[in-house]
Amino acid sequence: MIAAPSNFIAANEALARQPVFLITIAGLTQQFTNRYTGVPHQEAWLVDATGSGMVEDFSTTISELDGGAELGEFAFNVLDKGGFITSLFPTFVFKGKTVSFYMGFAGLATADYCLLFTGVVDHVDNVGNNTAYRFSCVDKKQILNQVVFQTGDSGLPTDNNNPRTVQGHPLDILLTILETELGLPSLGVDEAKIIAYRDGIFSGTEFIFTLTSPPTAKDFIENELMKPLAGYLWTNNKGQLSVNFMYPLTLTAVYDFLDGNITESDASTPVPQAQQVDLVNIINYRYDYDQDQNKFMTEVVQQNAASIAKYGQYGQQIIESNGMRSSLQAFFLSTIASRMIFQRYDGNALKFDPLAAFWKAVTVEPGDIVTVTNRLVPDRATGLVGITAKKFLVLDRIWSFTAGLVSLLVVDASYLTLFGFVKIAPNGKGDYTAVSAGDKAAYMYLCNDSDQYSNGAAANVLG
Amino acid sequence: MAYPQINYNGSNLLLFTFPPVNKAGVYSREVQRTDLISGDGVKQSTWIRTDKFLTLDLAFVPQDDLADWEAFMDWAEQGNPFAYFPDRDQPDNATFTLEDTSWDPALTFKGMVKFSMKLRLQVPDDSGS
Repeated sequence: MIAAPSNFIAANEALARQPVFLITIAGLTQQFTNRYTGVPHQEAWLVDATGSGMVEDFSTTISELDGGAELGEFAFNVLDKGGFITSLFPTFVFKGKTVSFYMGFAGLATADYCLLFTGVVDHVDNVGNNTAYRFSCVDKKQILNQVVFQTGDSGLPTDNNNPRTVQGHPLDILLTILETELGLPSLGVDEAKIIAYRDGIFSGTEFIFTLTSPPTAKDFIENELMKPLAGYLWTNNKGQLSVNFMYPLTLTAVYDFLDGNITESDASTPVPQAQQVDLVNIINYRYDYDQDQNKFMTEVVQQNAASIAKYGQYGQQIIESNGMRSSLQAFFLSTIASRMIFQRYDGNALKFDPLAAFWKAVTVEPGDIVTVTNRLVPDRATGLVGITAKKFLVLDRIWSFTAGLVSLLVVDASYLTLFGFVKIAPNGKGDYTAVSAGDKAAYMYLCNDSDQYSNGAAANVLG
Repeated sequence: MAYPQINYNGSNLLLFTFPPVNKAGVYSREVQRTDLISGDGVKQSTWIRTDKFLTLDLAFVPQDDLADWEAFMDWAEQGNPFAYFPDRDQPDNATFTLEDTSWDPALTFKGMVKFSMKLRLQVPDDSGS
């Protein structure tokens, strides 16, 4: 969830709002808004010069099974007041400059505005009979088109005769690519989240690669690091490269969608249209890549037996990992990832595309868990009409700024209630009743057949 | 009460021989706002702005005045601002721009034409650059 200032969150509760859009461009003194704010250098020059809004709709599309995500174009239109923008071109280069987009409300201090997008200017076009300029911006993920690991172990350029060995935790490899190979500053990477996954569910994981040609960063990250672990790389509101995995860091829902905040989508009805997720019940995992034979030496076919018995084989996925090794928990990792994919894409689970909501949901991000309550939504899994506080996971998102509309693609995540986040207790830990409250919550202990500890407390669920 | 006048382009004056008719006494409004209704009827409104307009219904304009009106239209049709005084003997006035993109005076009877004009109330320009 986007960490918004508390004053913004409070102001965003109002059902009658006067939005203020604020755009800053690095190196430019002037900032652009849609209404007068009284703040020096903030110019109310944002204009709807194309019919698509002063700030055009902005989308984030997640390709969960392919390891990646795409941010749509972020575009805004600025009046060329008195030829001011035109006068800048001889001395100011817009392309590549960092753009920050904030949103607030009339009467709110600028410091309380919420940062919604950080990217760079891609191109600037004349619009509105040359009376305005349309700034088109992209996220900083463009840097991932560069090649990495260009130097072999020998110090010579990476090739067949000078391979490059890359060995380590896949998320450490990710950090190496982003910060060392591509030179991104640490502030440009969501280190906290990456490290949380590295030291949590993926603790102890190791990949080994032998590269005979330098890959592009995007392809390597998505195909070799994210996809095998059922995750994806995406760009958050701060412009940081971040990760989400099907195995969540937390089960806490960040937002509740109810009759009071779900609204019309294109279907012109405030009832979210129930759809079903795709069915995937067979995954071919290939690993133990042999450089000399140029092939994967191990192939494991992960199957959702119950689903196949009911429906036959559907939605086969092929996941090939040059870095996963049998001797380094590859089978365990492929089993965990497959289990997550099967539970996410079981064919019967609910999906809303879109779930259209009031602007209060603007802070909801891809990867967040939310709940949905609606008496008119049929649930095939339960055979009932109506869902109450059912958990969903957010994937795609579209912001329509002028309309104050948030449109999300959400998929059923109710199976996550079966997941836990505790670990196997290390050697030396005492009995359950003797350890600290922290240890009680963090580790597994022996329980009885009724899933209770010796003091009657409910037993933890293994993560 | 005196008839209206328009001040434009510095010291230029356009004096109304006859006043506009059918005056409502308040500005008309066009609101840019998006309303969304939730499943149980809760309404969210996102207000962008309200544009205010004054429509002058000029039913009696002497043809002898048209040269002055054309001089004013040469200025106003380019989007330039002008001050409208409802009573030329009073200081109260407001600044407008011309909203229409066509002007079509029509003969009503000998020596007299009629036309209407839609004026947009100007929002102060608070930009510093």
